[in-house]
Amino acid sequence: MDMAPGGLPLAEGGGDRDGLEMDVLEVRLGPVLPHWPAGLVLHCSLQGDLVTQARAEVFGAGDQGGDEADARARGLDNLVSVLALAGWDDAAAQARRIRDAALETGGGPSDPGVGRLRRRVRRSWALRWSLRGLRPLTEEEVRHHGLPVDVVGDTYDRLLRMVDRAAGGERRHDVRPAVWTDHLAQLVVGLDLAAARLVLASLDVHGLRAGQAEHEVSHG
Amino acid sequence: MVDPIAMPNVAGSDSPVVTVAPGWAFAAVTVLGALVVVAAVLDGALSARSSGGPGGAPGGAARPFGEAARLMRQRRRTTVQADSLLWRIGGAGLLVTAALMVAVVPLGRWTIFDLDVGVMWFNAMDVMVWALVWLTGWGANSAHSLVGGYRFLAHGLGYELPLMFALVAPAIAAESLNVGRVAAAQDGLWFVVWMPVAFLVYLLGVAAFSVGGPFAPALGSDVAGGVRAELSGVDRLVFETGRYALLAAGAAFAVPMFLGGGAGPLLPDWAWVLVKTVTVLSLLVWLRRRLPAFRPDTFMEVGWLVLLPAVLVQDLLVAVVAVWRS
Amino acid sequence: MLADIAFWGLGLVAVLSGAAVFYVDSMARATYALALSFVAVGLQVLFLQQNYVGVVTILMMVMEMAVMAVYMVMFMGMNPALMPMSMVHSNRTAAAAAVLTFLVLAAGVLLVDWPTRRGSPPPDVTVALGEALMGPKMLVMAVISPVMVATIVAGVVLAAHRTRYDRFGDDLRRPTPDDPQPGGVGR
Repeated sequence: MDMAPGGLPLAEGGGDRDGLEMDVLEVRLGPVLPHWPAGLVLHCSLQGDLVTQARAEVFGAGDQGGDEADARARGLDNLVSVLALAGWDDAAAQARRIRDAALETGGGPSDPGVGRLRRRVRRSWALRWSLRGLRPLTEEEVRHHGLPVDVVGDTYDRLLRMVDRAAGGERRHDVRPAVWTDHLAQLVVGLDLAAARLVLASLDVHGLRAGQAEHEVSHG
Repeated sequence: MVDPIAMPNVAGSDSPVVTVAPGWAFAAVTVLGALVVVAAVLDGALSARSSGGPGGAPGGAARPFGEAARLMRQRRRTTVQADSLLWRIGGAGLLVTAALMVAVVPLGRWTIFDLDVGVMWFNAMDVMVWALVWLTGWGANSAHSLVGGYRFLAHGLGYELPLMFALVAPAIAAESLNVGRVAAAQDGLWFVVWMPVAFLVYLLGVAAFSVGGPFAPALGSDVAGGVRAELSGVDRLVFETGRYALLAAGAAFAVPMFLGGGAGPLLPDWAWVLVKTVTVLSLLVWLRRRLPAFRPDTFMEVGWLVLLPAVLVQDLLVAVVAVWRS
Repeated sequence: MLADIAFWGLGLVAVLSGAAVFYVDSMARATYALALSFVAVGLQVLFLQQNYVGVVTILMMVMEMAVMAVYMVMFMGMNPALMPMSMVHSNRTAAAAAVLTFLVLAAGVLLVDWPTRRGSPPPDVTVALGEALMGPKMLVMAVISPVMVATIVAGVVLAAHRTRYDRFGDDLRRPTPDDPQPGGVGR
């Protein structure tokens, strides 16, 4: 099939997970997208909104260095992303305010607002219901993918740990290791678009490295 | 044809409401417009408060007006091979649907369209939203907005049946599908008091068919705004206005169905209808900010395994009471 | 007079949009042309004093077309408005069948000796229609409904390639099922 009305190639068929033939649409996500790791490009094959294949690239992700305050703000940014992607704009706005304040004070003592946000997130049953069981990762998988150890568990666990990290802001931040892009691509295959975005955001990515981890050396 | 065709039948001579001249439809649309402004201003103020802090409040209560002015001046975005006809129908249809919904809602004693099956009419209109939102998503010929359109249908499959059966409860108790009679049947005891489950499910349904709050994944930021990803300028303004109008129409319909219509002390009945409508509307605007999104893939099961049985039990109880009373 | 014009106008819309189903070249337009046709018929039914039937027609048909759109894209492919595709096939046979059907029906209209009205219509024609259609056959309907539901459920169960053993393990002891797409209530 090389029909291309309007210069756009048509979707082609492919077997889906239920054994039916379904159209496959090639969609590129990134490198610039709200609530998305900067510079990550994901070439996805979608069936409906299900990611059936993904290939990752990095665009100009140099050293994402900066000082401790920047790392903290980046963590809060990722928290904003998870909350916004979970469709909770109110809490996301609250987190964004804390992030702005954190950048202004430059990593000083943390805002009392963090505690409020933490309680609010922990209390929301709807958020728990929505994120529970979403792409659970075992310790072994985490090691295999070269991810930071604190992403074990499902998306809700990861979100809670992000909030906790934000709340415990005075403590010195360990610099989070950069994540291998190929592993990110493997993690989102089989998820729908919304879930894939949530899972990527919940990994709290601070830096990206192209390619994949060599298993002998990576013990994130 | 022997018999002349009569106009569609209205509820008959013993109806508790008076049908006003069709010209009053303009007044009804004006009231709906005012409710839209109330909802948008309140939403703007609430969102300014949550993102508040010094210097962090863009516009606040005035935000809807600024946004409207901005959209009216914006140039229309076009996409390759868009199906403009369907796209425009979808975008503009929400507002029309909301206006058709309020046509059967009595304002105190007056109504524009005293249809004897007004409850079904409302229901048919809220199903229209399925088609319109999907058409908006489809027309733009963009993957993101199409995903948004399908997300709305997935939500629809979950919320629509509970919503329908929630509307059945007041109709059974009033033994009528006429909105005026349902309101009149609540003499003394409002239906919300003894049908709380139906009322809550109804409110959830209103949030859903106005594509807002927990039912906003169709417009999610993860798909670049979903259905409205490619909508711009006046099209987007009309779409957003339509969403608020649906919310307002849903709130207005709750008044005769669950909140006793125009009943209340001191004020005239039309004023009570407006007061109650604004109260429900504010509650909805406030509540839907408090919740994160219900993911369509998981909400489906909740709709069918939790909400639907709950509403059916409610209907059963109402039916038993109705039989016992008669 | 006004009612006459509206009735015939709606009839025209119904016929023309019904014809448009075969004329347009996109799945979405064909689907919603059909929906429009049904909506016009539903509104016409309102003029026949069958308000309930009319409104239910609108409700069901719009919902049905929205759901049809899901299947349309699932199984028919063809992106939004991308590939113009013809909505007709087997033209010659279809045209012959259509003309023949029209002639038979038109002949029926002209040749049948239609009865004249005895008495006047009952106050609630919807109730009268319901009783005329269903009254003596209520038992049959009441039996058929559960049979139909059972058929649907059985069909889905037979078609699903995952069984409860895949979900709950060979001894059905797994506390939470192992599903590729978990549902919302965790059963």
